Amino acid sequence: MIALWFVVLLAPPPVGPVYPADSTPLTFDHARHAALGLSCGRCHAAADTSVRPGDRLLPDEALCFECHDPRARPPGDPGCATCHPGYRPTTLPADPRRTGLARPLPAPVVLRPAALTFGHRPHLARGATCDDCHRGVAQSTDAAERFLPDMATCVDCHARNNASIACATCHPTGPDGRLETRLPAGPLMPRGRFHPADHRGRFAQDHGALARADGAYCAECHAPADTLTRPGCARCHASAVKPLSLHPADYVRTHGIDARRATDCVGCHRQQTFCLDCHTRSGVSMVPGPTTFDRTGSDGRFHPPGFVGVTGEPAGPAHHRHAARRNLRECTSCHRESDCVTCHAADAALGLRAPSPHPPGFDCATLDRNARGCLKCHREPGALEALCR
Amino acid sequence: MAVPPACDRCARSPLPAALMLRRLMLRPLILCGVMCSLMLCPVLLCPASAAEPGPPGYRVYSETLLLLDRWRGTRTVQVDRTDVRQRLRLDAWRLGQGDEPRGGPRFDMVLDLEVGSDLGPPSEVVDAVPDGRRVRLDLYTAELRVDDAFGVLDARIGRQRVLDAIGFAALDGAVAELWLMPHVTLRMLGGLEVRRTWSRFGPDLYETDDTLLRDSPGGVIGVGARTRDLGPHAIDLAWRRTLDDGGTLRDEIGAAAVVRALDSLDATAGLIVDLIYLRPSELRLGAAHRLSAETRLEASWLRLHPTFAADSIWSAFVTEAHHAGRLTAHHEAGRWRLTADGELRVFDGGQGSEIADGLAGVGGVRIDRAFDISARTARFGLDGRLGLGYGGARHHLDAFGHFPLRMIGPNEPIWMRVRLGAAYFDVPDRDDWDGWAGWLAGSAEWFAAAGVRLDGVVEAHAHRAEAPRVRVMARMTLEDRW
Repeated sequence: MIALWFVVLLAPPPVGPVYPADSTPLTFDHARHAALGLSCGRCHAAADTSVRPGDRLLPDEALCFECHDPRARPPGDPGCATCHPGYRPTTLPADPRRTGLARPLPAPVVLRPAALTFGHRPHLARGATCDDCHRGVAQSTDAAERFLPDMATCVDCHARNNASIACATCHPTGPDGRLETRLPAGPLMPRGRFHPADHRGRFAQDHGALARADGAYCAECHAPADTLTRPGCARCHASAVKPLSLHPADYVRTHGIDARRATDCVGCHRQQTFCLDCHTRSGVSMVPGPTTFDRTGSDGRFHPPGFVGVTGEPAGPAHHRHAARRNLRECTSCHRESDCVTCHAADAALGLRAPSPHPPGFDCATLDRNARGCLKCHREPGALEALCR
Repeated sequence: MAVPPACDRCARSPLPAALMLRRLMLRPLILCGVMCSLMLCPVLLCPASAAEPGPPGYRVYSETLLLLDRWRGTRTVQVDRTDVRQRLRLDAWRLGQGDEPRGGPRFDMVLDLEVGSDLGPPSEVVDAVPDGRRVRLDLYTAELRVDDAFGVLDARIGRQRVLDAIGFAALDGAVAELWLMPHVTLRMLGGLEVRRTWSRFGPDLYETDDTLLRDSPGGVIGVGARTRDLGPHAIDLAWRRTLDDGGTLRDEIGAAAVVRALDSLDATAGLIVDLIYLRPSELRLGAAHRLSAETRLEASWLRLHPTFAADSIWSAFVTEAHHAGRLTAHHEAGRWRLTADGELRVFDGGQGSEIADGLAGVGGVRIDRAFDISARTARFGLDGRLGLGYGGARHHLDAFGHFPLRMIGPNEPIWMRVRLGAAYFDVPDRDDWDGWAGWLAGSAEWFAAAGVRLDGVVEAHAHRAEAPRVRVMARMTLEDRW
């Protein structure tokens, strides 16, 4: 219980984009009024018919005056300051046109509506009580203290009562059916309490696993394409704009490091097209052109010495076979099949004939599915039949 | 085993024009047509059901992007790009509904296309690259969505994206989701493959596995299932097969799950199995543990063994899997945020080679603090990372800020992002590129008026071995909906 108390005490008030900060400069003791036997509805009668968060549910001053009659003030009563702390009424007329001076008024109560699709009436009609959502308010002595339900309260109750727990049940949506995330008090972001889609930390790099498992949850907010106020998948995956949070600056120079390490470039880039586009322009490719990359000079060398090797001799430590085994995708971002076939084809010229690139124990089972790949190297009529018989 | 002669089986065989046309069009179109018909029939015949009421809505989204890249590298290496891209998106929601809400299925339409052009200096080299052609049209999406038909069916028809346990795909065809059980949705899809990966897809013939001039686009069929309304738990199962004239190109099953094992522990898992080679191509496991509302730990492990389309020679090459493990810690204390992470990659292949110690490690720390500027939350911080091992070394330190600049009057502030950093590189066999580099990057984002957004990015890089590099991006986005 002590721990629970501490949790409640230390828990931050639910202020954020859903519950914007408000101001209640009043002195009010809920506990004292409740102890007098007053029901919630005595002051907040409008809750019975309220269907939206913006409805005003606070009592008018006139209702307070039914009990706190300002004309029947006992001696020593602080008067207005009973509820409006520090406020002393003056004798100035309320109408400033007569004196040019405005009578100071109590600090106003400013309540901003919650950014929710919510109505008190349907909840009360289904038997919900005030304390179900505003837990502890009956014991409160501070009017500024907020007893708004957090999402756990809503979700738990909805789940118990077979009400929908879909996001759009409570969070407002736009005409496309997706949640409105650009709220007046800030962006609406998942915090991870009810779904692991916590957008903090390295979420940008790691969200793929979640998206595959529960893409529908992502789609509650994000469309595949961007909108004016909200990034969609295309913001990064269309590879039109370089996100600086993913690629460190000067990435053009050093992207080869990540490419070699099999970082997931293909998540956003269509490798061969994307890579070749710049590599060809800059001459870092095998395509001849005005800026053809110098494959022999020391300055322009792309692959290390010994990368190609010598046919018939053992592969050296820098031979391309090692890099190809580790990350063939990197090779294929520039090289086409024809580059491999030149030396590895079964009918390659004897001087160029490189060892078989197949793994040990390779069988021809895939031939049943698609023989086209086999035929690119085993081009002699009948050669495949002989091999796979 | 009877194998037809190469000229009949190879994609580059000289076929008569009529036969080529038939192969190009017929089989995939028949496949696509059958799937679409099967899925459309119930939609067109469906009675009124409890669709979300509301009047029709429309949105026009326009994005104009200008990219300038000027890079003069060592000796011959240079890149000059001047890309202009114009994106247009049209949305229409609740088609056919009058101002008065009515029951029945909900019809939405999305059209998303982009026209791009490189205005840079003409070059034969540029023209030789398929993606570097002067004018390019990408049709990202052209789909009709039908939701809540019969109260059990959602369907999408046209060019669209699919995201399931196998990953992204794009197809011209139909996807139907049936809500037959309380917490399970069944998915069927069929159509023509647009491309393997999703980004920058479009009418482009170049393929990673060198199937340029493949004589027909692959037909895709697939089924799957996913859970829904299970709170923090979700599972997706998928099977997809890509076929073309020569047989099967890809055949994969995938499973992905996210489960809240304990109140503060989420676990994720993903598996993709290549059914042609009967081996897992990707296996992911992850866990995230919230120690408190402010502190979270994450661990993940990935085993990756990429596969290629079955008609590629590379699918029969020796390749080895590699593993990547990552640990991340995230902590927030008041206005401070701290993220530390480390990743280790272990490569199986290349034993005994000089290029490979078999390990590559990356780690970093990012710390930032929030400040109140103009009644908004700004953040300033430092980001440092070390990278060592296979592939080369890269260490960098960035100072960054994200803050608003107040405009006069009631206008929205301009949001600025600034990064100032330095790095040290050590790339094997590229001594001329090693050494220190520095950069300054800044961006601005401004909602200039209702429905108008302006973005700009300027990057400048300096390195001892080359002239400064400059990259500029400007973007204007207009959106109106009614």
